[in-house]
Amino acid sequence: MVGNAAAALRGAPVTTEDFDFMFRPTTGNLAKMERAASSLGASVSQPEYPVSRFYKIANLSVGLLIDMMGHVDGIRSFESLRSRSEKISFGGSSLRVADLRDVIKSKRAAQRPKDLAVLPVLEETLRLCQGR
Amino acid sequence: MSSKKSPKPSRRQILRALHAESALRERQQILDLLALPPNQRTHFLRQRLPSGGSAL
Repeated sequence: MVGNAAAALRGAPVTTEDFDFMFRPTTGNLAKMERAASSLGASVSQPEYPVSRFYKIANLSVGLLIDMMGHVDGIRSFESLRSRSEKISFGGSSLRVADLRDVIKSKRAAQRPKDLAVLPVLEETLRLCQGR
Repeated sequence: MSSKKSPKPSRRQILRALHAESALRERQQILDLLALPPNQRTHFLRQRLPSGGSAL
């Protein structure tokens, strides 16, 4: 998991409307993604096809929005992101959450106004995490 | 008895005090979240509203 949801799980007081994930878009993973979307009653679309391997999973009746990204700005590889991530348990299931430094790197690289706006609070959270 | 009033703060002083208060509050909010286990830091999801905008 990357994006603001990951930052929030790392302690940043931020909010979001969706969950962002980086993944390897292999044939097997795409099939798993389709199955997961189906089990959530959601549809999968590729809003930027064929420019990027970005998939949107949505079930608007319950407000579920998930972005699955083969590439994340500022992140060199899935493996490097994963190696710094942390597993967090949620009632028997576990979730790999990106390191806050990687979330900050991706926001800084994306350069969208909404990403730049959240940087100061993410950097303050990182400072306080490091001081603990 | 003296009825001396303290001088009215300038707009700049008021803004500086508000900024400091806001930074202090944000810092405390982060420390409160960091004190929770990660699986309890879950109050971040906003839901889109049919009329536009979103709410927690």
